[in-house]
Amino acid sequence: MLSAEAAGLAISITKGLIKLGGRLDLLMAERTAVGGPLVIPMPPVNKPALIWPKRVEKLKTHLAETKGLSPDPLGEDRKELANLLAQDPVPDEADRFFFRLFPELAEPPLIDPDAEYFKALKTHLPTVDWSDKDTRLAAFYIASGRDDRQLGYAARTALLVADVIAEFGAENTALFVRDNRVRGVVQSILERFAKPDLEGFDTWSPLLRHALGATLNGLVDAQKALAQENPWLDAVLSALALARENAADADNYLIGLVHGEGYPLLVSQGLLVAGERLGDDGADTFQKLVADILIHAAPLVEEDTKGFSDFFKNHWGDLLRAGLTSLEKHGSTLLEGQSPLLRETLLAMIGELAKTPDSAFLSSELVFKLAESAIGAVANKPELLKGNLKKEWFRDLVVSLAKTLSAQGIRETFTREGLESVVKVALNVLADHPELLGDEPGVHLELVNAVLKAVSAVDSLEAKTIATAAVSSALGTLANHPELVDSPFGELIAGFTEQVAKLVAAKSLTGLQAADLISAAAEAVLGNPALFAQVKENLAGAVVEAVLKGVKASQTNLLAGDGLVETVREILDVLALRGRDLIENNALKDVIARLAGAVSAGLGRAEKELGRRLDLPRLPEVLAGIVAALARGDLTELDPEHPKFKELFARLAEAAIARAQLEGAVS
Amino acid sequence: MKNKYLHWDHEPNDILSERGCVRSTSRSAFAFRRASDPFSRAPRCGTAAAGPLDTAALRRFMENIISRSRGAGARRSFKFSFLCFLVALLAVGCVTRRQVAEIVSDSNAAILATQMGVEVELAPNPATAAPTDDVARKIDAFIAAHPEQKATASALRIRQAVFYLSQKKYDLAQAAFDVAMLQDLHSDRDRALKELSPHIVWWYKTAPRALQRPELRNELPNANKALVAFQEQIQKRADSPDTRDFLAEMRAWIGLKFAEAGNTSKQIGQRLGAVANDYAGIFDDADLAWFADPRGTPGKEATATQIRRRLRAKAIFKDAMNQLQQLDAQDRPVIDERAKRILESRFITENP
Repeated sequence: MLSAEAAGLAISITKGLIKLGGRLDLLMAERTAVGGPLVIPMPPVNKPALIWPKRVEKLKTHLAETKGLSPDPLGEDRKELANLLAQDPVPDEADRFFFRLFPELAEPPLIDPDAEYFKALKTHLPTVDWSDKDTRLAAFYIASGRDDRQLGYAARTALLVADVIAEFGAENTALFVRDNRVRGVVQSILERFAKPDLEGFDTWSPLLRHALGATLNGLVDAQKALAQENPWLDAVLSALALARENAADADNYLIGLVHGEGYPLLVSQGLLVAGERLGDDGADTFQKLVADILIHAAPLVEEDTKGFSDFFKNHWGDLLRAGLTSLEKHGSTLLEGQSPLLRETLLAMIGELAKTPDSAFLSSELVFKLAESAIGAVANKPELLKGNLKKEWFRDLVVSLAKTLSAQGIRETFTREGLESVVKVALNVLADHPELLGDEPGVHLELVNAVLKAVSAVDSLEAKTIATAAVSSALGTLANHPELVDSPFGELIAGFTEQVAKLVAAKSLTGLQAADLISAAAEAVLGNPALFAQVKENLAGAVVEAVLKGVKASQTNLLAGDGLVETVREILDVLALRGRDLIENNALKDVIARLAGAVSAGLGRAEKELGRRLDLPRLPEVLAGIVAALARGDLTELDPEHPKFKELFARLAEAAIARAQLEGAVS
Repeated sequence: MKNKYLHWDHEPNDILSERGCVRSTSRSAFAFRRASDPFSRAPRCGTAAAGPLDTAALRRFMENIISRSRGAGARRSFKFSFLCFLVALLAVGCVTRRQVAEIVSDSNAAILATQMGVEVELAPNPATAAPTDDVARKIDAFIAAHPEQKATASALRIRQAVFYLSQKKYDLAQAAFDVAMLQDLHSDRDRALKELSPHIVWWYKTAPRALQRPELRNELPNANKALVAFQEQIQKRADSPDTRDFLAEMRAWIGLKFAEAGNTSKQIGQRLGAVANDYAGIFDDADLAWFADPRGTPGKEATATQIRRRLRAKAIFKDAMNQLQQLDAQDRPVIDERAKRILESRFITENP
């Protein structure tokens, strides 16, 4: 009795044979059509027996020979023909007469190339039976010639057989593969391999690509069989399967990988799979956190067309946000055992960072510093964690900083590192003095913002130098003098920073000098904050402007670099000490004009006194003395040659020398 | 759907293989078998194909066998039955191929019958030549029934076009050429015919016409274009000598007919010289040796292609020689050494 299994096999074999026969029939039909011989007749050719010059000659002869005959064989045509033949070259119209007069020469019997050939065949192959139709046909066959395809019919027949065998193998894999795992793999590969009609391939390249694709796709299809004992192999194959599923050209996706294409999609799907595997129920909290980051990274990798080299640089913010979101979710578990204050602070800040899109601009170091500041602030004032204040405080803190870092104008001025460096200085100060954050932490971060905007006129390197000095001076001063927190001190420094930045941009100052000036201005303001605050315009800036104008007007080169900075510093100190009347009683532009006049006159005088009772290190002090005299109202004549001015200058110079000598003696 | 040509009957004289296939008429039929009988019989159909049987029928068939396979020798009985079944399956094979083979055979016969009709002595036997309308109709029907067989269809369209040319149905010929897709044509012959189809159709129309000089000169631009296009194809098809020789011959006839379109005797001479020199380029040293001493068969070792090339050359070189001799000495062109040897060979100059 035949078993059902054997009967099934017999049916399967028969089906395969039927398929083989049907497809072979079509293939052979194609070979017959493409490669079959073809009789192509050569058309008979009609040609005059004489070439054109000979035809003209013949016409001329005929014209001459028939001249005077009666009746004239040419009749009325003679005149026209004579006219035509008299021309040089003879017009083509004359041929009409030749065809009419000599039809046997104009249209001799057609030349039939095939008939001529056949005659030659009979002559040179007399023993062949030419009455036989097949023999005659064979003599006229034109072979099909070379086939432009790489795979001939023999190879395609072999492919057809291989295809049918592969189909049969795919249906009956159990017959020849006993191992269950291997069977699944073999079956998948064979199914893929046999999918298109292989005999349809006529070049090697697509065939080999198909074979490779079938193998790779088959392996991926059979991932369950392959990866039973290795979950990570399973993950890799799952990623490949997912990537293939999402690819535009799924069948050729794996082949594309071989050619180095489509990796972003694969990595993306790999991250997804890895994220899912990491984040399953049994995973610890940290693994879940990493899983969340990986899953978030997946679409970013897929969309990134620039390759992987800058991926983390470009997508740090996105990944950070993913991490923060996850951290917020899993943070309570992670921070278990920490002090409630610390945990609450961190969670509040992380939650806010995760909600703030611009937090993408924060680097890990900045986040760390911000957290440090926040922890310090909360430790200083625990009520920050209570009620609405908590929500608003953390939002103000994070949003202010993120806004600063993301501001387009600021990002255009600074390099990424430069900006981070400046902000880090600010956060360092805030971390050291968390009390500065107060109830409105954004205020001081707004100051940083204003300073950063103020230096937009200069290049990134100088901007970093100036902004660092300004931020450091401003926040440092505020930290040490909390009474200034509610004063316009920050605005003054920011305004002054803007002015010196412009001078740096105009090459009037270097960045380092500007930084020194800012420090000097901060100290001067500290000396008399009320005076500086009452001037709507920036007094410190006005002093710098006045000194520069004075230098220019004096037409001397005595004041530059450190001397200039020192002069401004001295004058700012003088104004803080004695400038109230001068500033309160005059408009700022008049103050500037008078200060510039004093500096100019002083420099004019100094030029003549140098080496007599003055040297350059003491010049700023002497100029400051002249400004002090002006502020007191003791000096009205700003002429370097005026006796009173000369006298004042001499006195100041001698005093400076005496002070120097005294300092030297003391030291 | 049952194919309407599934049961074509063969002509009485067709030689069928034991599997019922029409004898192939392949190119090898024109190869030497013996020196005295160069035209051998073509190989028989060597491939069988199965018909469209459905799986349910198969299953019933198998179940029937299984139910009957009892007792001693049951397994042997099954094997025998199964083998019989397979043989039966294979026996009905060759269906499509047979249809194409019939088209190939019938079209060749019809074309040759038309062509040879000019020679009364060799007028085909009406009983053995397929009705001419049938050839084109069969090709159309086959292509309609097998739309997915693009390579087959395009090759058959080229054949149909040649058939129409032989019938002087030039518009139909051009239409058939047009529907044959170049990307689906794979043989040098078919690709060359397709690429040259406008020039070929033009030449079939023009060649038999008696053209007075004004008309000849009007057609000269077409002729010049054809000469250039043919020369390109001749160079491209160097690996397919049958095709190359055919194209070179057709080009030579175009050149000869239009040589006298030159304005002066000198120009006519130059055109004739170019025709002779170009055409002589397809002949090898063995051909030249045989031209010089053309006794008996066209060379015992010659292939069918060589025999055809040599014998077909005669009409062309004779006509060229006839025209060259009409020129005055000063107007005669420079003839290459190879062309000169052919023109002066005994094969061309002597009557057999």
